[in-house]
Amino acid sequence: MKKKVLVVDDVDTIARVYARFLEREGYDVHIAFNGEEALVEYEKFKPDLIVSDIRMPKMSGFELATAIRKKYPDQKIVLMTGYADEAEVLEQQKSHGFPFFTKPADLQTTVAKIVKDVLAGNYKPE
Amino acid sequence: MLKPRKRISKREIKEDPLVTYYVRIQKLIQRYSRQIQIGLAVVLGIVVIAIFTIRSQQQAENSAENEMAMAESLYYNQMYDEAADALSRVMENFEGTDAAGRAAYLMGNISYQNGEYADAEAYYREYLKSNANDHWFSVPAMAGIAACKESMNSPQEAAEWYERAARKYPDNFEAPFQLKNAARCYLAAADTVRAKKLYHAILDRYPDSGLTGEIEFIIAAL
Repeated sequence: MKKKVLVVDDVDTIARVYARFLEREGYDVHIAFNGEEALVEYEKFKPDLIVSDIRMPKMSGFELATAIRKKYPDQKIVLMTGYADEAEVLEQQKSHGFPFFTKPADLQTTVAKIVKDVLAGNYKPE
Repeated sequence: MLKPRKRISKREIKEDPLVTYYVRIQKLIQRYSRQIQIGLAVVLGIVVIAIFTIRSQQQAENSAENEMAMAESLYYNQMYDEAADALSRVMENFEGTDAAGRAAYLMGNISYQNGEYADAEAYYREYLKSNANDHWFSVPAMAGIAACKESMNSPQEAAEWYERAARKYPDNFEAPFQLKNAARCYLAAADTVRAKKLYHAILDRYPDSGLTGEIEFIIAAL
């Protein structure tokens, strides 16, 4: 059975690029364009993994991840950001402990690997 | 005690079906050796050309993806003028690649944002020419054409494109939203009957879309 991945990004095109790539990698993929939409989609789709952007209007990726983990503590979540140089983001990442990668990321190597590792429970931060 | 071995006569050897077959094949090979050599050379040539073509295509795809990564980075950082230059280069230099298709789609978005609706429509159509079955991007590309038509004051055509976008992948999560856009455009084109039909279709087919309350309100007002 295919593993289910929910991709969340407020930039429509980025969400679609990642979704298309992951679908070609053999995952069942849905997308959402903001945190609130993701919460609704989460309940319908029940994904094995959420891959979410951090900076989004209305509800950030951290807020989304925290809200979901509160209800489903074992939910696997990967965060992505285009602002990795910002100390604030790195600090939050440290305190929350969510795996994350920076955009733009190489789909074949970075994204495929992190998704596979997190789903298999083998993820080790570099 | 061992049985004495039966001697096989030359005549029997000549009549053995396997030997006869082997001799026939040998004769055929000798007779058509030139044609066989040419045939093998042609097959070898085709294999070499196929390998070369696949490799060049892969190299082109890789180079296109590298250029596209830079162009996309500019686009996502909202540096649209620079992104447009980079995307145009990808389209010109790597025609037929996946990246060139994506570049056309993003060029459509940039042109639309700049209010260049005819150009935007042409880019979306360019994308759809070779990617019509990519459900992640063909739906927004069709919706993009619809939005261009709407902005160019052609609500009837806009409605038809939105409807086409919705019907292409009816199970897609975007389908009810595209139907809603289509209905809005039919209303703008004074085709209330068609609009009502689509609003009802949303209620019937997509009860979980989150649009129910809004659509019921619109239907009541019509």
